[in-house]
Amino acid sequence: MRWGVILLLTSLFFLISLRSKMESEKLEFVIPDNFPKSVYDFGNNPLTEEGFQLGRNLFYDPILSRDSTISCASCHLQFTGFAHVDHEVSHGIDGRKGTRNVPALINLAWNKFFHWDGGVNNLEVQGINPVTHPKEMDNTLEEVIFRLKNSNKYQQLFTAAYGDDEVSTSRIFKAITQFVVSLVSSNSKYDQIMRKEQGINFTAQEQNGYKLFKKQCASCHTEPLFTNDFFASNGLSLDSNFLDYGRYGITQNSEDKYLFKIPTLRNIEYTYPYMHDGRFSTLKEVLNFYNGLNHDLEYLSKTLKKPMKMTDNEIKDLLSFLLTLTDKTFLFDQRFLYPK
Amino acid sequence: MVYAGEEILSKEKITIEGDNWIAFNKIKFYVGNFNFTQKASSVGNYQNTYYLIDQSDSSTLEMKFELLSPADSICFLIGTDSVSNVSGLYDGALDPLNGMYWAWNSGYINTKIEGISSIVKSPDKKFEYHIGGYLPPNTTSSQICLTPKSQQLNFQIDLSKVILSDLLIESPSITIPGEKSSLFANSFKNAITLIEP
Repeated sequence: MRWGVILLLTSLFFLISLRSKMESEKLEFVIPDNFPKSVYDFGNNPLTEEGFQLGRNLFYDPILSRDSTISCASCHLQFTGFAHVDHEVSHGIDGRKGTRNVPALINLAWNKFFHWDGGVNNLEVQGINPVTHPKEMDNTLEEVIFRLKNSNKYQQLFTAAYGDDEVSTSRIFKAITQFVVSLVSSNSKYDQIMRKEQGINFTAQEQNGYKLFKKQCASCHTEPLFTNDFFASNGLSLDSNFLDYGRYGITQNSEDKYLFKIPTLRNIEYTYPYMHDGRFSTLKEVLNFYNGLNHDLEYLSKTLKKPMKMTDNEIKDLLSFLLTLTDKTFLFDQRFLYPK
Repeated sequence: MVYAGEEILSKEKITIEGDNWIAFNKIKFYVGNFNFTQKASSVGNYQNTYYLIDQSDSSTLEMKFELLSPADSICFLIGTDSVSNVSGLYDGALDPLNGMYWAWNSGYINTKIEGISSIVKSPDKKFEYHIGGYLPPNTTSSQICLTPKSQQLNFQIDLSKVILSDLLIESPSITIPGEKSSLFANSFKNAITLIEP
């Protein structure tokens, strides 16, 4: 009799431990119909609901910064395409200012390079920058790990995501990656038209703008991601504050002077101010700048050498097309909000 | 680890060239991708396994490998390979927590050597070499292949072959990838020699 009871208990115990290991819910990373294959390798970071939620909590939590005042979301606001509206350059801890405009976090799964200079080569390691940069969160990895280890909330979230509450650099930033890699914008008016969804059409003005876009902009801001994920020198003069040569700072190759990463134009309506140093506050200024480029600049990228010569009306048409890249589904997606 | 034949002890001054001296407070570097072969077939392949050697931590100075049979050739990397530098996060020796990782220009610092020397012209006399970079032509890791004569291999690094007076005067600080880093890495590799047990 006794032996039988023990056996029964043992088998029950096995059942329970089996269940707790199966807890995390696999998520599929869905590639929109009109998008190419993504770049990010999920092989060592399988997407799960619990991993995503851990990343989402970390993204919105100022615990990551030295004095617990700043979170990722302080500069990356969902309603503005995860960019920082009205801030020319990033604002960090103690009111310190960075040197570059906060990039929008949109469709990062398709990017090979991150930051305006492309210095970061993998989404997983990007987060280390804002957390440890003295002008952003000014924290250390050791301190972040210590705080998360001692937090009941995170003990639970890490256990849900990884099966136990061990906190490590890779676990923290892979979880944040799960959240930011999920920030996919693919339901703008443009996308609906490309997918031939019923009853959705460009207006005559947008249609003409699209034609102009393909002629003037698409070689760098390539559809459907609206970036070719490469670098270009767009003719901006060197900013007098920061003397920022962009890509050159990473490669030390003089041919890379003035090169900056080509940003996506998705949700561009909301990600102002524009350019790597945020020097233009409206899209109109940006288009006027390109239209009036000084083509004698020696460092201008080849694709911009040919004058655009757009009329005022054409600029308005192009602008109206760019507004079709706004994706309200993305900007107001409940899954990307501050976690409850 | 020696400097011109003299054993390097953390923070202790070593006399060089008359009245001048040098002292090291940090010497750390990566080795990895060990592959042991016998007649060209592998008897122990430790691909993608890295070790962070830290002069101040004696437990890191010895590595043991289990082999299927004795090896007639050993190849390994001084530094980290390009795949490790672009593939995101790792645990263990490659955890960015070890202070051997650049966040702003993603990639590992393959070798970190810091100290002070009377030869350095700045008032604080400090020198620092954070050597890394995986993009050609300025790569900073290199493979060493050798034939073992016994089951135990002892290596010696003579930093006087890397950190010369000229370097301390002209470039007391190299902390970004580039040509200088690449040259440094090459002389670092050449400073490593196999010594008889």
